Amino acid sequence: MTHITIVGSGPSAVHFALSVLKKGHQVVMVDVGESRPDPVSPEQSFNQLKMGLRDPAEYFLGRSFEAVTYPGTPGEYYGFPPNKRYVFLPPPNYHVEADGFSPLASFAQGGLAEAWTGGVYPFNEHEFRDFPIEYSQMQSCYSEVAKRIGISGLQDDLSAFMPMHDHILSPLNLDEHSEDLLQKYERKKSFFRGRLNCVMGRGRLAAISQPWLQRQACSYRGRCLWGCPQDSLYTPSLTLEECKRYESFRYAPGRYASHFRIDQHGRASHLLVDRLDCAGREEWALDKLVLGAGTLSTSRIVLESVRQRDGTILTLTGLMDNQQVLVPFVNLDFLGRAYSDVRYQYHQIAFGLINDDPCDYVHCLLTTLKSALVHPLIHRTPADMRFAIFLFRHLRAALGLVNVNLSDDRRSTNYVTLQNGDMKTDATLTIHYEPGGAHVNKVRQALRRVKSVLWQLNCVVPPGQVHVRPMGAGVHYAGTLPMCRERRPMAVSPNGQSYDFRNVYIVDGSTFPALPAKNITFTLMSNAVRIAQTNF
Amino acid sequence: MVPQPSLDRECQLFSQYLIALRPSGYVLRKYQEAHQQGHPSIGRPLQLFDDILMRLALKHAYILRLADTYSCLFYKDALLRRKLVLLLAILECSPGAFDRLDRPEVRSRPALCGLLILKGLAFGAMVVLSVAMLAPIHGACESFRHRWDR
Repeated sequence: MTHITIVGSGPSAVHFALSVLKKGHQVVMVDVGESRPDPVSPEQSFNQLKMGLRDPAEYFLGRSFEAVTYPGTPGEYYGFPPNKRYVFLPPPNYHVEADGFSPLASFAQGGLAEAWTGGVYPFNEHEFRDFPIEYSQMQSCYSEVAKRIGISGLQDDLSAFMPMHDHILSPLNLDEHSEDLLQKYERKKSFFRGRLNCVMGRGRLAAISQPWLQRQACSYRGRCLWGCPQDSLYTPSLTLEECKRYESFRYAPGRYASHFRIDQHGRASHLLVDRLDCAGREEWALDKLVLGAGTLSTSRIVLESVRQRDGTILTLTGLMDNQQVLVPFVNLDFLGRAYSDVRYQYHQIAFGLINDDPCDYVHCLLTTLKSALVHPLIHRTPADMRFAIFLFRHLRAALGLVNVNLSDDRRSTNYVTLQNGDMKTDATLTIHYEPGGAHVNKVRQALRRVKSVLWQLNCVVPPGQVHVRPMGAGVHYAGTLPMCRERRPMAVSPNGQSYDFRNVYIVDGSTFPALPAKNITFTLMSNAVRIAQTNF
Repeated sequence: MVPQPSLDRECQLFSQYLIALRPSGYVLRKYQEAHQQGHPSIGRPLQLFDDILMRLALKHAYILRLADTYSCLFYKDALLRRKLVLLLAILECSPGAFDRLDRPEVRSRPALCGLLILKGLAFGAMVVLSVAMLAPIHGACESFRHRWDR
């Protein structure tokens, strides 16, 4: 039996932990561990909450009205719910500066995926081309994770780009708008495939259409964005709860992992942890250390450990993220129609743009989200408020949003490093990102093709409304400590074992040597399972 | 701080303008509460033109619409616009008010197109009127501010 210390409780960390717990190992999980608030009135739908809550404005806008989005403030199409703010609360010792990158980090139980949209898209064999592992090594891990989290989906045209695996449940009920778009695609399929090089199909979602492992099936209350009140939409904190049921598991929240001490044999001997209740610093003796804190935090811990050893400040190159572009559209066939807010809200359908190089595949997620706050959309309309409200009421059923995801690769211009620290305090994590030379063209081409696809679906994109999100907003960070076959500094073996520190394993996205145009969370979880099964 | 009766009056006028409904006690209370916390002008210095726009807008619903039309195109970050957005955000969460914003009005497509054209023309007329009325004042305020800054 091995004694394993895990840092972080995000998707990689919890699935790694569950896998090694099942094999009988002893696990301690060190985590900041902000916890989510209890769901309010779980039985009510999105609009019923507005009538049923004592103070609905406090729930939807926040106690300090922090979710109100004013004109002139850069922002997204829909504001972030106040009840999910806990996901992004940083501990006092975490300092980050960024240039060309808008980093998001989470210190919540379950990590960033507590606020995810539930897209589960396995990489295909082409997308593992730059990995030192093959798709075949991941296939059973995808199935294992699917069994744990519950995935709904369907075998259709998109399956060529999102391989099938075991334990896929029947898809969720479609909303009328998504159904209409999919029917149009079916009618003109040969045109879409032949002329536009586009395939469309059902999204693969970590939301369950039938009861699964003591979780209730989705009851279509339209509260996905606000946090599913009955856990039909999977979040990693559910797996954390499962881990807590093992006697050999100890969860240690309220602790911020600063760095690990490196002994003369190049092993991590102790983990240095700051208590967030001001009780000072603790030293935890290490047998095996597993870093699963997410790319930025894991990179920081490794950099800080080297700096504390001999003052060396390293630079970890190759930081990646998916460029995301939001394309709102109006479906002309739905003008003036009614809609229901009682629907599953995220990415019911998706489409892919195929390129000559299979690794340049562009993944587009399509949402007809109906249960978001509408004031950010209304005040963006170039009309007086009264006219804008009139327009909005008649367009509401016809509105949709395409989230275009582009792939990224490791480049030496993009890096993380440290600055401004003495030996008693943690240094500031510094991030630098520059888009590649062909980036602008890549975005333009993708947008042109997305607009053509939408046009064929009888949808138009309102002029001036496309939003190119800043790099970092995709929150699919990867690439700073890549896995590779040959031994080299600041890299890991194909099985996640550090080449620099023999008893350190890295299980999160920092080890990905390439980043396809897909949500990586499912592959993160599956890769962590693979590492646990291979090494422990 | 703006006195409470003025805020109530402002809220009533704005609510009528936005959704043609008198605000409930809950909406009035939340509007007050937001102002007590510094909304909606948090992090934004007030300009002379903001003050003039607000004074004009509060005189009559028709002038309010003119001021809103002007600011939606030429002064997007106006205090007036921010106040309207704040109230809109409160209304869309409030019982009895949210469905005025949320629920779609179902019409046949020809009827909708006709209505859209009429409303569009009305908006165009408002733009012309509002520019004629407010652009000179806005220009004067801006040049005064630049001179003052120098």
